[in-house]
Amino acid sequence: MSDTERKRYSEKQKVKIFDEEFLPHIDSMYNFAYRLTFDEDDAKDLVQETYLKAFRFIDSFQEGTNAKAWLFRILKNSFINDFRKKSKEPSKVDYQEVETFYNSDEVDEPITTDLRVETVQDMIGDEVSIALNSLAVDFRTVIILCDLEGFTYEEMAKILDIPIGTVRSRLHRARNLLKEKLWNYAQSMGYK
Amino acid sequence: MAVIGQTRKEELSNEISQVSCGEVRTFLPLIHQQLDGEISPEEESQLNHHLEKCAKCRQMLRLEQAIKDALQVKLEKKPLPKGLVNSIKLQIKHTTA
Repeated sequence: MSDTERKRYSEKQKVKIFDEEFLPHIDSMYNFAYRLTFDEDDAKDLVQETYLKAFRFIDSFQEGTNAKAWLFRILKNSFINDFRKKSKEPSKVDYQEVETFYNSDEVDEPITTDLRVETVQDMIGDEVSIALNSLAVDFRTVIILCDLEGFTYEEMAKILDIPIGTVRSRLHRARNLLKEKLWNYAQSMGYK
Repeated sequence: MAVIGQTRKEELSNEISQVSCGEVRTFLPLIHQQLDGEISPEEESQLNHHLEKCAKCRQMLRLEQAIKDALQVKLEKKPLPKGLVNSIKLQIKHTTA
């Protein structure tokens, strides 16, 4: 489509879209940014940068479509491009290596089956948060997008720019890792 | 006495086989898909048929649901920093002026 044919919004339309379709998601965006960066100031900067980009490229957004997914994609890409190198990851991880390893058919990681429902129900928010935050960023991202933000697999595939099959397998792996973290934490804290 | 011991052994063996599942790797992904609302009717039928006879997988389903609930209910939501919305709007105003 040429520049002359691409729909361009008027300034008034842009402000309307921004206020009515983009801004309502700012709380979710901030919480997602915080879980990526673990830093309030970095999260604030990331959200700010995302919204500025969203406004700059607003003509590529189709009014009335899934603004939340569109914004989350911009945020994710901004994080990868600008913030990941200074984020407070617990250890340096080659994410491509991790991804390749965990998507390999040869992997036969143990599945925690001893964690009790009652143990999970007795845990407080901080304990669950510690377990989630200790996952590598790509794994905690899919859990956040699915379980906290309610995106479908298809939406997640677009946000993360990966096939739906990879969304499925990454979620599966992430949840197994999270179970293991919760189990280890419960053991260390003396939960029965 | 030996007969009673053997009967008890058989009971325990049956009990263990009823609660252990060698197919958890097959059905756990389907459990995840069901909880996410992303399961096809055929897969759901296959899963439900298995759950009817597998206590271990029923327990796994309860556990996965509990973890999902814990994530949604227990995790602290960070409040938005004051002034962030206004700051964003101001920056946009400057870039479009």
